[in-house]
Amino acid sequence: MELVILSGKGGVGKSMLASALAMLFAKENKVVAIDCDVDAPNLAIWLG
Amino acid sequence: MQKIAITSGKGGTGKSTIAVLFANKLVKENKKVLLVDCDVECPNDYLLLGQRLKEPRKKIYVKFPKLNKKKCKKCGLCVKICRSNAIFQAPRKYPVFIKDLCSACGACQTVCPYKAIQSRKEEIGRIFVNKIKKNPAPTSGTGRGFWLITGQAKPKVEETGPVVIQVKKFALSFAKRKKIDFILFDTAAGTHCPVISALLGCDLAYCITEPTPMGAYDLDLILRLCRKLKVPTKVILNQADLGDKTKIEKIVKKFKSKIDKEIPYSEEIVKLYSRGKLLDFDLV
Amino acid sequence: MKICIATNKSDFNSAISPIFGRAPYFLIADLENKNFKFVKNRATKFIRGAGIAAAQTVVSEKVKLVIVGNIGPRAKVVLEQSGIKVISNITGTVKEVLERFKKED
Repeated sequence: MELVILSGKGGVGKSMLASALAMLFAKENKVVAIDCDVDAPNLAIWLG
Repeated sequence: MQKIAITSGKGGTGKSTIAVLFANKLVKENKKVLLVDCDVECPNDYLLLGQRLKEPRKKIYVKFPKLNKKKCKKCGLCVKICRSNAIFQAPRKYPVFIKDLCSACGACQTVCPYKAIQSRKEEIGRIFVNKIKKNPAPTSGTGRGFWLITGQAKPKVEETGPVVIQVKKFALSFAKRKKIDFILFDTAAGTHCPVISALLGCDLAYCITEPTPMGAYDLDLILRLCRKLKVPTKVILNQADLGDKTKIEKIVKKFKSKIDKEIPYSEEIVKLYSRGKLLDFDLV
Repeated sequence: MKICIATNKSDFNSAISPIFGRAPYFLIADLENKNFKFVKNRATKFIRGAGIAAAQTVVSEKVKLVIVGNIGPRAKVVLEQSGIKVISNITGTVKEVLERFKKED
């Protein structure tokens, strides 16, 4: 399954939601989280 | 005339809010102000000011290449000249123009020895002008206002840098006519072409950030970009009381910038922002 | 028949490149005349349009088939429209792929 998390407005919580979902699904599934925000990638920071 | 960019790198740090409040403040100081919303993919400033975008003052066009096969001799010069790799030609076939990659620079049209490349005009955006006025209020005195220019890219346009360039050109000429003291350019978030186009040529860039690791990381990116573009910077730390600012201070020092202001969290401003009620020259 | 294999390095033990547009090398293999050459991909550092530029390099070598890990939609379309078959999702080394190709013909 491929899930895309996006929004028009910035700073609404995309990276936060994406990292939370990744951690949740990773409990029982193999997960690949891809940060497509090539200008200002933050996902790695959220995931520590 | 001062050209000041309000930018951030990170989205949601408060660029548009601060841009609007800054415009309010300058009007209160009796300055002539033009606010330009360069976040052409998602312009928001008009919403924060309770405005509507009615008729466009100007439409923005680019010229995409169009091949005239009757004149084309398949020489391949256009393929060689294209810096965007937007032209593909299989051996002995006509060149194929890939619109998504085309930056509409016109080089192929110029270089073709057989004048086989014509142009096709296409709209990529629109410019709106709003006069932001408030009725004379006791503290505001003259009841003056400021101008808002909104750039809006057409949906599905891939390269919005050219839209911002046209918006800025229009804004600068408008500002000259109206004898504007301060032009504020509210840029998009990020560090890509539309942001670069907005930052170029500015006298100063206020970089808005927040005291979080994400804010720090993106501040580093935007300060790095401004340094490359030779735009002096000052940092504004928004919601300053909500996190740890040590990382921010380190990065500000690294780029020899300075934290100009620390704005504490304000529930009043958040409420006004979500209701589109940020027009108040006393709200500073 | 001439075929093209996108590779990471310029030798037969190299892995197949998982990407097309910025694959470091293209092996141009003339299977009948047993002629093999590695062509450096000029598009590796391109910011945009790498796939199209790479496809332009490949098409000028007059191959009939391209083998790669993954390929972007634009590059795939222009290659196929030029009469070149594209086989993607291939992994392994150049040697292994050539052997497999010989067997399946």
